[in-house]
Amino acid sequence: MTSEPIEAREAEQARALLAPLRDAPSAWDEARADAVWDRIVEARGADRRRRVALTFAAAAAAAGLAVGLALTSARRPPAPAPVAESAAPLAPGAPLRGRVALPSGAQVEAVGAGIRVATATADETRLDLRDGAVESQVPHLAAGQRYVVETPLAAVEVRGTRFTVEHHPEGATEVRVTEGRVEVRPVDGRPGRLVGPGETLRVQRLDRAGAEAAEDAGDLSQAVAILQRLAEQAPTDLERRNHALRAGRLLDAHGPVEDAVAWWARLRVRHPEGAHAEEFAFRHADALRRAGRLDEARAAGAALRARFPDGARAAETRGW
Amino acid sequence: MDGPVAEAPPNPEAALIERLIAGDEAAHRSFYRTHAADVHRLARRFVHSDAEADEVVQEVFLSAFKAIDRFRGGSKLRTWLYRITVNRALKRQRWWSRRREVGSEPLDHRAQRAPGPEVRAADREALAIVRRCLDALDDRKRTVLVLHELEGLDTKEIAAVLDCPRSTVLTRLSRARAELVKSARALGVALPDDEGEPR
Repeated sequence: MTSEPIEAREAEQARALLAPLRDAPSAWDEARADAVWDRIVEARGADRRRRVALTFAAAAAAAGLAVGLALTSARRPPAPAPVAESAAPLAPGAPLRGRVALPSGAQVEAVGAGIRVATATADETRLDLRDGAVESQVPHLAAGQRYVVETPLAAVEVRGTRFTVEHHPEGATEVRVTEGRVEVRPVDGRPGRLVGPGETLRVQRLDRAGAEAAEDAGDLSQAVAILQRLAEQAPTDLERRNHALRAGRLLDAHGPVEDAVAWWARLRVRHPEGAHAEEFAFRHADALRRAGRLDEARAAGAALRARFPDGARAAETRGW
Repeated sequence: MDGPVAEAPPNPEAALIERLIAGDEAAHRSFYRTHAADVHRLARRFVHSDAEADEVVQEVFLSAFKAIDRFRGGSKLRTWLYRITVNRALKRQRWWSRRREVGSEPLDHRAQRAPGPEVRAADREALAIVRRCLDALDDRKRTVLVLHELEGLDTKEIAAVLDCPRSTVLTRLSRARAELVKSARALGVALPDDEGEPR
């Protein structure tokens, strides 16, 4: 048999196989469309206002926790030293791009559209970084001289060092130090950190975008910590439940199973009714099963079936 | 006798793009309303819950609104959106693939049962098997198969979405079908016109 009839037959078979997926009804409806649109509007509004809504900053400061601060010593190859190409006067508010020599003697290389000069005198340099990256090489400054890069999330102040500050509007500021030390102070009052040569510090926004940025960066414990915080403090009950579910899902996927058990147990008790209640109960039972606590898992499964006899999850707990 | 010289027909997509670049809120909403269902459906082909597909929709439109001034018009807006959707959905799916423990369940079981109780268990089983076979393909083959067999795009459109030669699409499509069929056979699925194979 030649390859053409085989290919034709496979094409036909593949089409037949995929028919159930092709014909599966979509869950997309008006309510879903509206909800997603609201989230888009909210995200765009926050971006457009060019400020970060640190919704939970006060609570984070009160707790004094380092949630959202991730210090890594992943060493990156040092960037080439910037060479000043422009020494033109820099008015407050002026956009900063390319390699620039500042009146303080610092040399910077600015990449991105969201970088402006707030102050640039011999005694004080303040750069306003909203989107992009600034690499700075700062000479040792005399007493009273200051050099600060400010992002919506943190102020990075330095003397006599070389470092890069990068801000992602999606929810993170990253500081990489090549030489010397800088102090990074989150604007929400969380404790600052000194960052040394070869180290990278990331300040993550304490909201959903911050959690997603942490996920994207592969910093899953950070993402879980942010989501758990949001699960306690988000403004609406549904948001709290959604954040809780996301946190638990991450724990299920990569966290210690006992942490997952504890988290789901807490949610099951806290939310016995309403959105995700059945899922919380199922996840708890399933985590118990994965933890090898089979008797408890069976009991939790039985409770789930009694509570949600028609639920989609009930059947999954039978036979444990 | 010559008729009146016809004016070039207006290009509604070009007009829409201009309004989007200008920041016209009504245009943004209309653009979203027109394409969101398609984006969600396509995203759902790759991710494992409707909730995750919602998030892909959000990411796709945020990204599109942000980058619309860089849209060069070399393709249709829909093609461009599909490209963003595939990239975002695959990124998310890969993220989960790296982290999901064997046997863990997708988040949104409500979405998983979206077809409703009227759908028989056997149908759900069939869906699960097909998904499994599809998931076994590598991203490139799966993407081509999804765009062609599930989304109905022709190979030229797929080449535009993936920004690759049509010949590449054809090759991937052929291999994807062969691997899908092989996976299904391995799972004991009966296939039509399988000579000498169990039906």
